[in-house]
Amino acid sequence: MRWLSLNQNELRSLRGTIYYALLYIREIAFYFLIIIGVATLIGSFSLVYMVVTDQDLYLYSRVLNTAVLAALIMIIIIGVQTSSKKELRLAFIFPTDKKIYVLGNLIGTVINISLLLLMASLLLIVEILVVKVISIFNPGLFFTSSITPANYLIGFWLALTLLSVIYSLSFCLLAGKNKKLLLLILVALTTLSFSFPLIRQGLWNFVLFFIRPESVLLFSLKAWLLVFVLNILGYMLIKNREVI
Amino acid sequence: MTEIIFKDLTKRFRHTTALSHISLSLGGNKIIGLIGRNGSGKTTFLKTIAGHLKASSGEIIVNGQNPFNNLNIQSELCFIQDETNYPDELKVIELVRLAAIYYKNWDAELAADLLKEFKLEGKKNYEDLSRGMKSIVHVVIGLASRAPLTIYDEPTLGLDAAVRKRFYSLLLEDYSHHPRNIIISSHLINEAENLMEEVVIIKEGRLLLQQKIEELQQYAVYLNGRKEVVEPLLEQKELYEQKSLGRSLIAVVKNDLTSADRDYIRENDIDISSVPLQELFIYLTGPEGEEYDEMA
Repeated sequence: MRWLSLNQNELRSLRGTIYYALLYIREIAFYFLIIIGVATLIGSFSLVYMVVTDQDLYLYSRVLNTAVLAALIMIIIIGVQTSSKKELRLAFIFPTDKKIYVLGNLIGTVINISLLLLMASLLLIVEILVVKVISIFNPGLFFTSSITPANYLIGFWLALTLLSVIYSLSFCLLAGKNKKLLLLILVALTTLSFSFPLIRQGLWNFVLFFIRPESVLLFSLKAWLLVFVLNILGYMLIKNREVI
Repeated sequence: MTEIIFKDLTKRFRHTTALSHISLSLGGNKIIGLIGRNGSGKTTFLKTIAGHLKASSGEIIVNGQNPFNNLNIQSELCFIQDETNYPDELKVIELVRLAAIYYKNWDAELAADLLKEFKLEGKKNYEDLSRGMKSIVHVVIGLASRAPLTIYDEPTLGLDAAVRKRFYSLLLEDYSHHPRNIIISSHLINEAENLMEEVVIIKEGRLLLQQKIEELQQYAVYLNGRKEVVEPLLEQKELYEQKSLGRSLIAVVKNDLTSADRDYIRENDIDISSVPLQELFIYLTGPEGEEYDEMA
């Protein structure tokens, strides 16, 4: 339990690390909005074409899906960066240690993911408004969105959970010093899973254990447990790393 | 009060030995100068104190603990590196806010006054600052941190003479009100000479000497006189340099002159004067053999 209790020095350092991680939201949001913006622009062309040609069309809400995909890309990059030499050097300009660094980055990233998903939710409202305006000019437009307040909250939570797992996985995988060894293990696992059905099945069952559709509660419990395990593993891998 | 002890510490990076068998003790509220040529191991020495690097062999103890990945030690320490690069995308004011969170003795008033004095715009991105302005940000953070152990690695890089002078006077003023342990590595020894109470000189990863500044100022002397009277005096003396000017000879020797030597100097009308620290540093840290070259 000592690992979980924090003294004054650790609390101060944790606050600093979280604030530092949150300051990145501007940069993250910038690229996030570019990705979503480009996707929305492409979607808009089809809408304009539809209005001009007076076609009937069924349109599905796509902002949230695009947003989760964009967030996924951003989060993988953040996870990889967290384990990088440069990032470690930047963080250790201020008084901190590896435990606080890992914990602070995890908390900061979860908050950043929530902010990205909130941003995507605002874009969903914009999307609905745009479609409503267009449908005035083109009564043949049918916009389908199955989002209700209840399933929105569940979706938000599941996306947050999944993205937190992805962040932790990318951080943990690259936290080790020996990247060549990691590549070798991944290649070996892939080759073995192709060659031996038993290994393939074992790996697939392992993945299924976490992503098998079941109750939201059970999935969340398993996923957050995985988040903590991956971060602890990542911590152990960078614990003795020097800040060069 | 911080106590730093190196016990036969060696630090290797693959095939390079950056520090070799360093044993010394740095303690008390003092301003300590760390002197050495480029690549002599100064930054490695400081990074080891700051807990960024592990010893390959031997030991380092700061306040009774190993500083590596040790937040108890880190919290008492502010390390301003010469290659410090704060995140480029952050504004100056955000960096100051960040520092205020991290350092428990942070003096917000001092930081605000210094930003104003040096005309640093808080809204400017760190990456848009010139080299000199970046150094000023580092200086401000180092001073306002009021950390019991403040380490400056080449703090005056890129600063003009006037700003360097102001930095030294600010440092001295702040130190006199809030005594603490400050370690400064610098090439500009003559400028920082008045600040330092103790000097550590490193040469090729080895500890060359550790002395009080007043002892170091008397460490070597110039002897200037007629060649035939100066030359006998140089026998069995540690000679750093000699230069012939016609019938005169100017020699730089270690100041371990006996009373008999001093009598000889007086009787033979040989001028004697102390060697400025900057020059002494060049003599002491120059490549082996260079000290004995005839310069004339």
